[in-house]
Amino acid sequence: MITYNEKSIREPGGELPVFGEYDVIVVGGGVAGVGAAMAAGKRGCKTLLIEATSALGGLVTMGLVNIPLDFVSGLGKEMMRELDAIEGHWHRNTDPEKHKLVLDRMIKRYNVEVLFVTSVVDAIMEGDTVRGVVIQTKTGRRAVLGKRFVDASGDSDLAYYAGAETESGRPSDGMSQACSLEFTLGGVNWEAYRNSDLKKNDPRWVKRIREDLASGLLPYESDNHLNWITHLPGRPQHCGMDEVSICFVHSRRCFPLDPRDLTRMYFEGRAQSHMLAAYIKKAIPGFENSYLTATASLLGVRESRRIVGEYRLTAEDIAFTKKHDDVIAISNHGYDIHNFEETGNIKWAPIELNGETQYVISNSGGFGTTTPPPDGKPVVNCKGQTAEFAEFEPGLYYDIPYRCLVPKRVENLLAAGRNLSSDVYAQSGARLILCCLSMGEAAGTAAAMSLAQSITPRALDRRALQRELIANGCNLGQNMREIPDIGRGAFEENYQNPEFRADARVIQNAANEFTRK
Amino acid sequence: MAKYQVSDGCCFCMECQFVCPVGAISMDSKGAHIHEEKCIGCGKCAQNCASEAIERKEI
Repeated sequence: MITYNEKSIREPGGELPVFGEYDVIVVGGGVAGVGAAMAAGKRGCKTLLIEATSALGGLVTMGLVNIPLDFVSGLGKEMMRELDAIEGHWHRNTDPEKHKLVLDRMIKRYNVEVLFVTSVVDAIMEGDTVRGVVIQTKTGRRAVLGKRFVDASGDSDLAYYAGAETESGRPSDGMSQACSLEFTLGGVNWEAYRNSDLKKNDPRWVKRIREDLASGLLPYESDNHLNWITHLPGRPQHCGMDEVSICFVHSRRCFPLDPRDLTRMYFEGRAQSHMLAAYIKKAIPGFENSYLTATASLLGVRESRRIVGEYRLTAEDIAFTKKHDDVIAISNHGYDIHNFEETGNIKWAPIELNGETQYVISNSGGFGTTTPPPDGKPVVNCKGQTAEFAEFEPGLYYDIPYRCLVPKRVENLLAAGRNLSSDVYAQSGARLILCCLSMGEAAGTAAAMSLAQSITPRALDRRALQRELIANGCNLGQNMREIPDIGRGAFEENYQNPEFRADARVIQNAANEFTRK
Repeated sequence: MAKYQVSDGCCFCMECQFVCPVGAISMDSKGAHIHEEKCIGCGKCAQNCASEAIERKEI
């Protein structure tokens, strides 16, 4: 208990009981944390995973973002196979409930101890070295000691408490890009929707939204387009009682580190969900008998506090699909910013090309931007070509360097997930679910290896880390280019196994015939 | 024989391009494009399409 003092409220000193001692402590049980914890656990580390909600998976389960995009690699492959085995995966759409089950099983299999509904509230430091975390329990604060730490909290909580340098939101005012509360609808006739004129001619409802706003059928605008709609597998399928998850709700002017603003967004998100569910039932073919089955229990925060690490991934890294020697994960997802203040999204970034600022899309997905660049300029690719002339080489991807997981100055700590060291443009691409899981696997592997070698993670030889990741089925792009000192196609199974990512040399050769005009 | 083609609703996720074992898929401003002469009809693109926008056809 704290004694009230009208001048200043101070916390008393005193000893914290030690809750436990571990080799590796992972903060956050979203896919990044799960990847890190499993990677550490499978290498024999006594591992603790601390999660603030009641289940694992973060946004992909609790957030109803059941579309795990980006490269399937390492532990991600295993996870997708387990989902397949229980019919929890279809067309890259997953069943959130079966996904929770799969993660529960996998985390136990990898011998990881989990704490649900527990928050990390402080760091225990020895100089610049993290020695432990403080958790809040029903009987008071407890110290949990560890040797290596992975901050997969999404908001860089542990890094912040450890005094690491962090940044949040856009540079001008710290505002984050829009957040979305996803919701699911049941009783959907998916076939009817799929075969409708709306789906064929206006698949993102751009025109429909404009018309229905004008007529008043849509009371107000959450966005100027439907972002995505997925199918929940494992539910009755294609029988007129389908269930879908919808990304349409948006909260803008977000500051997701502020509990008042997070609360505002949950109130707003649920209100929008009900409004949109009612609208969709009236307006969208196939949804005549639909009803709201759930609003997400976890708000879709896309970007918040990120570490400032040994390398900061930037808009240029994505525009030019840059490669780095210390690659530990790859991504093919371009800029994906949901407007900070207005409706629409931005799939381009301002990049200096030939001495002037151009608005560059990183791959053809950028043509889907609903917000045009300022000054009436067109979007272009990294060669300055506009839509009619743009050629995109197939198999493009960019590297996530190990250095983006390593915070400056603070030792024994790694970050993994959407809080990687990055600017807002690069983060908007690298934040996808399977890239976060890959970052987590890299961080957990690095934590285990650095512990085995009694060195700080910063000092880990990237080649040893990369060989270990590749030996465990990870895709670092090694089949698509030569990683210095690692070689090309270092992992033989990739060549033999057609279920793995296609050999992009074949893609490149075949595509040469088609894309060179 | 069976071939695959992109119908409508491509969401530009590019999964098809990455899973195609023969590199038959390129992307343009409208979305994914399957080059018929290269397509071997394996259907991996359709299986992985996040928008269910790829359909099988007999030619």
